[in-house]
Amino acid sequence: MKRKLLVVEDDASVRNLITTAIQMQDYENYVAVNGNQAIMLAMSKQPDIMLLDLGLPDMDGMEVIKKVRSWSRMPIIVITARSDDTDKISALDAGADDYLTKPFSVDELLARIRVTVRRLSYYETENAAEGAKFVDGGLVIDYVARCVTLNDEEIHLTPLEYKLLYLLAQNAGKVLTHTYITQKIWGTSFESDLISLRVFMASLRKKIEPDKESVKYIQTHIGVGYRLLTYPKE
Amino acid sequence: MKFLERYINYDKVVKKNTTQWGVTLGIMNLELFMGYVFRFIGMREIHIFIIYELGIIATAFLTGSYICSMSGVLGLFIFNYFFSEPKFSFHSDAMGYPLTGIILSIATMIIAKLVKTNQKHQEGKALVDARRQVLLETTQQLLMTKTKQDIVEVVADCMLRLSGGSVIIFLNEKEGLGELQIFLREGAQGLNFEIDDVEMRAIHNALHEEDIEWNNSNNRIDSKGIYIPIRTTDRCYGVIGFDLDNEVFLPKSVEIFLSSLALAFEREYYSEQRAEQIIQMKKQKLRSDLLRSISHDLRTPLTGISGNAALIAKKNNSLSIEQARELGKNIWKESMWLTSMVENLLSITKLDDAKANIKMNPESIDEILCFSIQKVKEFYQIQDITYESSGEIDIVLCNSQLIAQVMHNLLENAIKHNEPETKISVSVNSLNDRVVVQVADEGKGIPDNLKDEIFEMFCTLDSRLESGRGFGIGLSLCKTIIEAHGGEMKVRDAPPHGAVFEFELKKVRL
Repeated sequence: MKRKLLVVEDDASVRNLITTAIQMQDYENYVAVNGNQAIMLAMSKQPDIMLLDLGLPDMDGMEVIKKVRSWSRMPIIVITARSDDTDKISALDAGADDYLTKPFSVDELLARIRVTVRRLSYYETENAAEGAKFVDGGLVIDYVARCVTLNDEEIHLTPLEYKLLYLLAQNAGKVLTHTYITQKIWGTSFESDLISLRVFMASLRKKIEPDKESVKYIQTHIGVGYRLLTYPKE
Repeated sequence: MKFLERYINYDKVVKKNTTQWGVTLGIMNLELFMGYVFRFIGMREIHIFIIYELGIIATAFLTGSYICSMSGVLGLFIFNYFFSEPKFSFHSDAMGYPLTGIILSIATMIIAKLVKTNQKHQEGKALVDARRQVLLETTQQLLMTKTKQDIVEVVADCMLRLSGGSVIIFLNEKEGLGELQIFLREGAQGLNFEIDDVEMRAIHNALHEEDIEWNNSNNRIDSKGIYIPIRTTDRCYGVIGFDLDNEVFLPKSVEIFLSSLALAFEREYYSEQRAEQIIQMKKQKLRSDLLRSISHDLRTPLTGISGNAALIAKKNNSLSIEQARELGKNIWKESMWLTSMVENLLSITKLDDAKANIKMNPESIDEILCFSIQKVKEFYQIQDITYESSGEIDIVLCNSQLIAQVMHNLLENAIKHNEPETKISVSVNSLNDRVVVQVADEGKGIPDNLKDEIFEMFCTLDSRLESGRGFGIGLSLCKTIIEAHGGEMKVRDAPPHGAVFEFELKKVRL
């Protein structure tokens, strides 16, 4: 099945770059040049993924996210030219799944799309969120027994580490902001919570990431948050 | 200061009145006693009368004039009653006595009045002297003040002494009214009123007031405090407020003092402006250097990009696929170079905007280092970077993006300035209160004479670089970022050959 992508970008050359790149990868694409058109197409064509530039001529990209989120859970990858973290964070908190900062390379763009497509197929086949088990490559979380195995070896996690991994697994493939995570786990987002998050994340990683420099499961997004990468069943 | 206290403290004045009456009564009793003694030893009435005269003068010296006149009249009656014939009656036999008595009383009262005037004069002079002393001291101190806060403290001290009430000071900062500073008078628990909307309105009124009519300024708005602007003709530097007891008014000397205070602020203001101008000039110089350097160095990659792209886009070009791919690769390379330059420039503006206040969060140093290494590996498609972690979970307070930028620049330098496949290693050491991050390479190292200069802007190593490019802002930026984090950027030789760049970050206590 060909995945349908909706590209929302007002700049012609960047739009051209994106569409050319995704056509080469055998995705189907729709193009919108402003926010209203994007919302219309998102409704009528029901694309699988939306690539959304935040700086649109007719409305703020954030508005588009909020509108689309009111009726759809389609993955939204935000594209922003501003290097400030706050933009990405607020877009993610509004419901976007991932972000790309301009200038981005074609490889990076395609990698992000692949991650999202993988996540889509993952949910379609396993329906993991409601299932009793979360399977992500070699990582298996048994929700019922509350036990985690990595490559068939059981891993002992503290209750908080488990809670953290559980939260990531529930939102596998999506970039979660620091604030979102601390809110979900501690109910607050003070600086002390952020410190705790770093500590628990480091100890969790020690247990499930054998190779630090090339992470497999938990991806760091500097200044923004974390994401659990999804893999097909091994 | 004793006089000052009396001047301003109503309670004490009341108390003093009571004592004065006590003194007067005491003297009158003494007079009566002495009168009887004189009579006993057979002195004439006129001598007893003189005792009363003396008593009145003594009263005049010790108490206020109106008390003295009262005691004079009273003394006359008492004398008449006890000592003049017939005794124990207000009736007098001798015709001369009442008249003499009245004349003498008038004379006494005049003496008392003179004494009192003199006393008052003395007292007033002492008060003025004491105030002058305070003003003199303060003026002297004002000359030695270095900062606005110094001035505020000196002034508050002076005003506390002069006005006797608590003092409130608002400075007029660039961003509007500064923080409220309250200096309580001795023994006061707090202000007699809250600084509420009404007070704030009065303060703002004072701030924007053109003419100084300060003793009446509380008439316009029913505020509890008295607010006076501190101003010269062209600028208002703030507002000083007084929390005074109802009966007490501000001494006039405060008014005189305020102008010299405004002058002190003006001096401070101008020296601040001068300092700012110097900084601005330095910034301007740096900026123009940067611009010149950028505009020069931007042209080269842009020429590469536009030229290569034009070749590919040209109609009927006879490029083979291989050639076109080569041109595309060049474009990509050049744009990558532009990208990392833009990132550096953005970091510079970020530092510039925030000045010393960069937004810092607790971050895991491990996370940042791994992230940076992974990025660079992907970017340059190399594998020769090893990482050695401290083995501990180290949380540092930093701006993760800026530290990632430092790592990016250091790694990029290590790759660009050395032969391909030179080994690069990153390590982190966890010490008691800080972590030490090292980026080492096994390349040629940095000549000793350049080790100091290397962190300066626009210092580039040599022309080994492809087309002699690079403005040398990378390392200077690293240094600025690390210094903004309170650390130090160092470089030394790595035996047997190569360079080690090292910086420290403070740990967050867990």
